[in-house]
Amino acid sequence: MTIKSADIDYDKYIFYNEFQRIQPSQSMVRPDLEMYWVTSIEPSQSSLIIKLIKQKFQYTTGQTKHLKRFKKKLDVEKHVILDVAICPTSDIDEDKLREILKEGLNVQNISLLKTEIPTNKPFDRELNMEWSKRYWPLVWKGNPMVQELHESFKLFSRDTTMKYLEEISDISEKSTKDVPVVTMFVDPRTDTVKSIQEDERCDEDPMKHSIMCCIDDIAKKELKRRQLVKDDKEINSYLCLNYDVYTTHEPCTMCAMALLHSRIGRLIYIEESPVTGAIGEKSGCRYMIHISCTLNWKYECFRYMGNALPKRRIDPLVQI
Amino acid sequence: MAHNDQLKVHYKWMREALNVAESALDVREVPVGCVYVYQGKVIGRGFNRTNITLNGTRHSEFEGYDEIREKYKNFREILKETDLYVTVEPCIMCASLLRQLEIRRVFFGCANIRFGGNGSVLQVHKDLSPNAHDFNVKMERTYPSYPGILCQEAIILLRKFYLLENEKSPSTIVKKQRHLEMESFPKLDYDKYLNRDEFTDMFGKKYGYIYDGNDFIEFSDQGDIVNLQQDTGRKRQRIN
Repeated sequence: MTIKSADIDYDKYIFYNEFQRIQPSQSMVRPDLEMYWVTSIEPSQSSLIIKLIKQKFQYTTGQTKHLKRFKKKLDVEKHVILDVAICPTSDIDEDKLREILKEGLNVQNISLLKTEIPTNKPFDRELNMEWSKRYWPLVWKGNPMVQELHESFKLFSRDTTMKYLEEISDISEKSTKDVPVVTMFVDPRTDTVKSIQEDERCDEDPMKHSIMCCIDDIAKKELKRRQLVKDDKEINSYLCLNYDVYTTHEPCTMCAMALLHSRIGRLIYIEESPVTGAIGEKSGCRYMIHISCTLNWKYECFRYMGNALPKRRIDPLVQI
Repeated sequence: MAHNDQLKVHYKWMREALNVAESALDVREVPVGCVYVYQGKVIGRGFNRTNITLNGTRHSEFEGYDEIREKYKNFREILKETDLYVTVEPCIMCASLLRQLEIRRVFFGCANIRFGGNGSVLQVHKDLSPNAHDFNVKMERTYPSYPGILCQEAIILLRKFYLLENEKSPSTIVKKQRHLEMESFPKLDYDKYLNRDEFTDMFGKKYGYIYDGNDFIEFSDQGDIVNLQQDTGRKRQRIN
C-alpha cells in the first residue's frame, strides 16, 4: 500500500481529514525515566560484559532497543572508561547484582551506580541529542512518530471504520435509554462483531456502562461455549486481545482502563467527553489512559471528527 | 476514637481482607482480596476472579460491590459511609469505580506499581478535572487512601501465588533459584499516596518518622504499631 501524504496530517495526527489519532502533542513529550543499574568497566572488559548481559540480562534487549549499552567517559587520568547499562534497579537488588558482576568480570571491585534512563524515544534528532547528553546515549533511527503513524495508517480502513461507526450511531440515535451510549467490539482478523451493547445503568446497578457490558457479554458467551464443547484446553484468556472497539462517546477512566485490562488493540469514538473522558489529551484529568501504563500494554485511539454522523449530547457530568 | 483503637480496627479489617485474598489461592486466582466495612460490619467481600470469569475486569473491588448492591436496596447511600480494605492498591479502573460510588475511605496493603490508581501510576482518588469549571459542574467527591497496612503480608501472598503457578508450569528453566522470598520487599514511597499530615492524622503524630523513612508499618498481633524510632535508617534489604 502506498501512502498518499495528503491522507495524513502529520501535525495533528489526522487520517483522511476525519480521524484524529489521540497521542501526546510532540511539544508535550517528556522522557519517561526509569532508574537503571550502571557499572563502569575498562574497555578491555567489554566482551566479557556483553557475554554476561547475553547470559543473564537477555530479557532487557526489547526494552533497551533505543539505547546504547555503553557510554564512553574519561577518568581523571584521561583513560577511557565505559559505563554499561545493565537493567532496571527494580529487577534485582544491589548485592545480588554485585555477585553476578564479580563472577562474570572476574574482578573484586565493582563500581555500581544508579542512573535515570529514558524508556521512550524522543521525536526529533535535536531532542535525541539533548536526551543523550542529559541522560544516556540513545540510538537515532529517524523520527519514530512518522514511522508509527505510517504503521498505524496502513492498518486503518476508512470504510470499515465508517461502517461500524454508522451502525452504533444509528442505534444511539434511536435509543430510549437514560444515557444513549452504544459500544461495539469487533475482531478485526475476521471482521466479525463480537458484541454490541447499550448503556444499561439503572438504580440497581449504576456501573453498567456500555463498555463494561460488552466485556461481560463476551466473557459470558465464551464461558457458555466452553461448557458446551467441553473445551478444557487452556487457551489465551485475553478474549478481547487486539479487538477494535467502536463507541459513540469517549469513555470514563473506569471503562478506558477496563479496555486496557482486556488488551484491546484500538478504540474509535465519536463524541468527546470533556469533563469525564479519560482518553483525549485535554479531556477530564488529562489521563490518556490508553498510553498511561505503557510498560504493560497500550492501545490506539481515534476520534471521529467528521460531520457525517449525528451526535447525541450527554450531560458533561455523566461518566460514560 | 484514640489513634491506637482506630489502628486496631484497621489492622483487624485488613487481616480479614488478607483471609479473603488467601482463599483465591485454592482456585488459582491472583490473591487480591477486599472487605467493605460499614458501621463496624463487613457488608461485602471479594477476591480477584479474572481467570474463572474470563473477564479481566473482575477485580476484588467489583466482586464486593456486586454483593453489596444485591443485598442493600439503598447501597448508594450506604457506600458513602463505607470504608474499603483491600490487600493491593486499587488499579486505575477500580479507583475510578470507587470514586463513582463515592466510597468514604480506602485502606490498602501493598502498592500496585504497574496499574495503581491511588498514587502509583495515577491519583484517580483525588484528581479533579480542570474542565469541570468551564462546564459549571461539580465532580464526584474525592476519597483519601491509606497505604501500607500489612504491606508485606499482601506481597507474600502474591509471591506464593507465582511460586505455585511456576511449580505447575512445565518450563524448568525458571524454576531454579525459586523460593519464597521473605526478607526483601520493595519500599513504599508514602508521599505518592498521601501527605505527611494525612499520614500522622491517621496513624498518630509520633509515627511521622515512619513516613519520613518510608519504613514499613509493623504491627503486633493485637494491632498496635511496634516500630521503634531507632529502626529508621536500619539497613534493610530492599529491591529498588
